[in-house]
Amino acid sequence: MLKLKTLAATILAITITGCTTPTAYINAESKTENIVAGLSYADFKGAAESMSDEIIANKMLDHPDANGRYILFVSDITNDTMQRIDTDQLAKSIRVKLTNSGKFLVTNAFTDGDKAVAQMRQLKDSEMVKQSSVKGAGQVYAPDFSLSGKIMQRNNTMDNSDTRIEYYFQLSLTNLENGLSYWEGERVVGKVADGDTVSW
Amino acid sequence: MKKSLLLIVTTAALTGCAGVMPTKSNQEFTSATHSGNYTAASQFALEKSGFDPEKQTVSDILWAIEAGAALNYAGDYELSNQVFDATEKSMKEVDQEGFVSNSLQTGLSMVGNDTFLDYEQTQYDGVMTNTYKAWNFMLTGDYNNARVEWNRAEERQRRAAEFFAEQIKEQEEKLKEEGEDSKFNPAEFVAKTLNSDETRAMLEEKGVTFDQWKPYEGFVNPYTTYSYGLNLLLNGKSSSDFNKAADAFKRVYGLTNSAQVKADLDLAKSLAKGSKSTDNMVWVIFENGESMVKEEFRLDLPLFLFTEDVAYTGIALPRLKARDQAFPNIEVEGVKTEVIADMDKIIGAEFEKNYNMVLTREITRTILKTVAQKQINDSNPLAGFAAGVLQGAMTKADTRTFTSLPKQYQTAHVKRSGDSIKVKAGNYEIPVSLDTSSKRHIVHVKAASSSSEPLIRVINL
Repeated sequence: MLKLKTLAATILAITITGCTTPTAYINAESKTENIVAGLSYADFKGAAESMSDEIIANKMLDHPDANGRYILFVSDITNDTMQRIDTDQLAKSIRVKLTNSGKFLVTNAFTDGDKAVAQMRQLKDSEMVKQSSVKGAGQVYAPDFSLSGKIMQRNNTMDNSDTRIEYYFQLSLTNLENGLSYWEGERVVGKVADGDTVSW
Repeated sequence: MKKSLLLIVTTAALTGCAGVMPTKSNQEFTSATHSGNYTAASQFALEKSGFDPEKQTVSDILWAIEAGAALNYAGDYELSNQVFDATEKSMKEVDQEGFVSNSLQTGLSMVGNDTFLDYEQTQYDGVMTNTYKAWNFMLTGDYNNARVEWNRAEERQRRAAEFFAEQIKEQEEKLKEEGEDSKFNPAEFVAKTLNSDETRAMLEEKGVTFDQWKPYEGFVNPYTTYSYGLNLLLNGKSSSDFNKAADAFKRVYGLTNSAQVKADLDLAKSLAKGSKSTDNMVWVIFENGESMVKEEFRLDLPLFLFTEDVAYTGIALPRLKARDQAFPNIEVEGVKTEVIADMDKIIGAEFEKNYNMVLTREITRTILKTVAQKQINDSNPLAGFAAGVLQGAMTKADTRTFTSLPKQYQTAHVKRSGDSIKVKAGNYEIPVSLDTSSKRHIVHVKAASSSSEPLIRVINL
């Protein structure tokens, strides 16, 4: 009888403690393991890399000077999903890849960029600062191109009651001189999740 | 004798559970919300919700949504969203509850009553959770996250429409199966009682309605859809956003026929074409009165299974109880607000849709208990009497409802000429200052009753 009780207590203990997941490293780029219904690093990286490759390969975006680089301003990327994501997760990967390609330079001088570009020019009135080292007026470059877009989400219920989730990464590269779009890209990430509950 | 003793002990033990049942001692809460004392209301509900700020969890979904709503009215938007976020986690667990857990709970409720079941959020509870969150973000100027919550709210509406369509399909199939089954079915008696004209007439006499509340087409909550559209109209970045706003207003106009919404629709269409602007415009959202709640009533059903040996034969069921609007409408610069959503209609429709299930459970449980009680009574009349008293004590209807909601939502928009507008609500005339460095404004007015001054919040966009 006592043995039975001990067994029951052990089973109960295993059942309770069995629910705890030990902390572990995962491969954040994997599209086959630890998949979530929301957007993960793997999704951002996949979309950003293939879109960057397209931009880099685009002949219309070759600078006329052999060593010249176009200046890119990353404008607004709207989060139109049901996930609380930071669209910089997409923008950052693209910025890195485009900068490293040697075809582009990304400006940080404007909206949401690096405030220090403007702030440090205020030092021109500071007695403390060596004035010849203060960055002067008329030196910041205006951008040639603007990158903008949105990430959208569409959910649908399938016949088996599961939810089919589609994320659309849509980006445009606009030539600021003439307002024309020199490149448009769309990547779709599709997922299937349990339909019993919401996908966030 | 042993068996009857065991049954009594079990019943007594379960009656003991009544003390920890999720009964809602909400008088303190409702009187605080009724009088506009949202700080007190939010503190009360927050404590009841079991909100853990470290783990970001709640232990009671219903009190958590009450707390989230009250915190919104009390102006603590960040905490409100934390509580609502934690609530959504619990809602998700309820959605994913397995067959075993559901069966166990239903089994327990058969011995006790429906309040033994965990509170399962209604469809509109879920939709309103995201709607409140979206407004919390709007009120703190975080329009990016507001947009996410509006998308979530609309997704919940899509899921609700599918949920009800599936429910209707299942009920039709069940009826068809019952018709084909000619063998004796233990549930047959329950079904007969349920479907008899006499039962229906008795329930109707007690104020139960079966098809008084028609849902909005597509089970839409037009307030959520309207707010979704308004956010896109005022924060939209492209013609695609304005077109989406137009679609939302078109849907709400189709459901309400409101001239104000028609004007919003026309404006959204113009913005999509690049003409017109929303500069110097003020939108007013009015949360009017208090929504319907549930109350308990008791009734003796003439079930032929019952015999004279039985001491108790009553059932307890919930019915809807309407509460008042605060004002018929409010006036802003001479323009009257118009109804865009009737929460009572939404609550009533969902209540009626689920009523057969509530009724089935109550009748089944009454029959089970009565048969057991008769068996005890036959072997020991004193024990039978005691079991009857216990059964009476256990008979209780589940009246848990989200009570912080208004009865109606109304809207109007006006063009501002100066730096303030005047809101007229009943005998109250309230000047509202607007930040003229902003081009657009939303004035959110909440009046739970006509006896206290309306709560006014302003969003300068």
